[in-house]
Amino acid sequence: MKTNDPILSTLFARARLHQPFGEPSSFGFETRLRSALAVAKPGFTEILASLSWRFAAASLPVAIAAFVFLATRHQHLLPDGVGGLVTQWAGFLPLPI
Amino acid sequence: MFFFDTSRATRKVETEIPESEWVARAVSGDEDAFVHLAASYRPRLWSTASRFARSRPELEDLVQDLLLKLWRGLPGYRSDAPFDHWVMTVAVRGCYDFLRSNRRRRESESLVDPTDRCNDPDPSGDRVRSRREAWETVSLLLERLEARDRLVITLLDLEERGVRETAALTGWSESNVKVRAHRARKKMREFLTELGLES
Repeated sequence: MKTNDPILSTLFARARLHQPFGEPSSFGFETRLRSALAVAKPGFTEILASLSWRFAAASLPVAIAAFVFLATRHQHLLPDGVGGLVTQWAGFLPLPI
Repeated sequence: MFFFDTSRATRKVETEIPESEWVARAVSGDEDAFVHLAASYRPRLWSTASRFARSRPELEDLVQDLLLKLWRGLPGYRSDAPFDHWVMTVAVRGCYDFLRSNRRRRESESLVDPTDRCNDPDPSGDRVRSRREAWETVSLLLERLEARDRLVITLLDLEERGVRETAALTGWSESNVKVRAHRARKKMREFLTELGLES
């Protein structure tokens, strides 16, 4: 998809051939890169991005369950077993159960 | 006494190793393999990044930043996609981030540093001067565009990539790329008229 404007297309064609900063110099490249790699540690977002979606999908229900457990424990309303937990949280639903 | 040139032998062995092997090693955390890949991809990264940087030191920093992004992103690379495509995708998105983060600072700075832009082998030649002037004019117009528009024009018109490839590299839809390119060129044409640089 090229421009059909004659002035812009001429400008682009000429500008394309210009190397504004010349060629990269190989002097010191490896030393600089290795020293940068030595201090480069993956950030939180990189770690998250490296996790597969399967892992994320598997860990989400576990995280929700942990949150529910901690929330009920914090309120000193720890129910007996899974049945008690479901009954307790069903009370919050706007449905006539 | 028998002397064996180990460096030449090592280089020969290195050239015989296919790229996929280097990639596999780098993905598993081998820093030497990554440095080897970085050296081979650096000219392409340099060429693409030179369309966004304003000075040679800034370009060197940008390329270094892109290489670090590649190193950090390697664990997420899936071998079912071509490695060179993945490299260029990370590079293009890194350049876009660079454009966005530097936009305000750029607006308050002068456009061209002549000492950086005049390192052609023969600056007195008409052809070279014509190319440099064209580049400076295009840079002037690109500076006035939004980061997204600038990225699209750079990929389509300066790097001569197709719409599909540009869409894949940026992560935007093909229709989005087309619409942006059309609007950006229209703005560039208006800026040209405004600046009296039509001839």
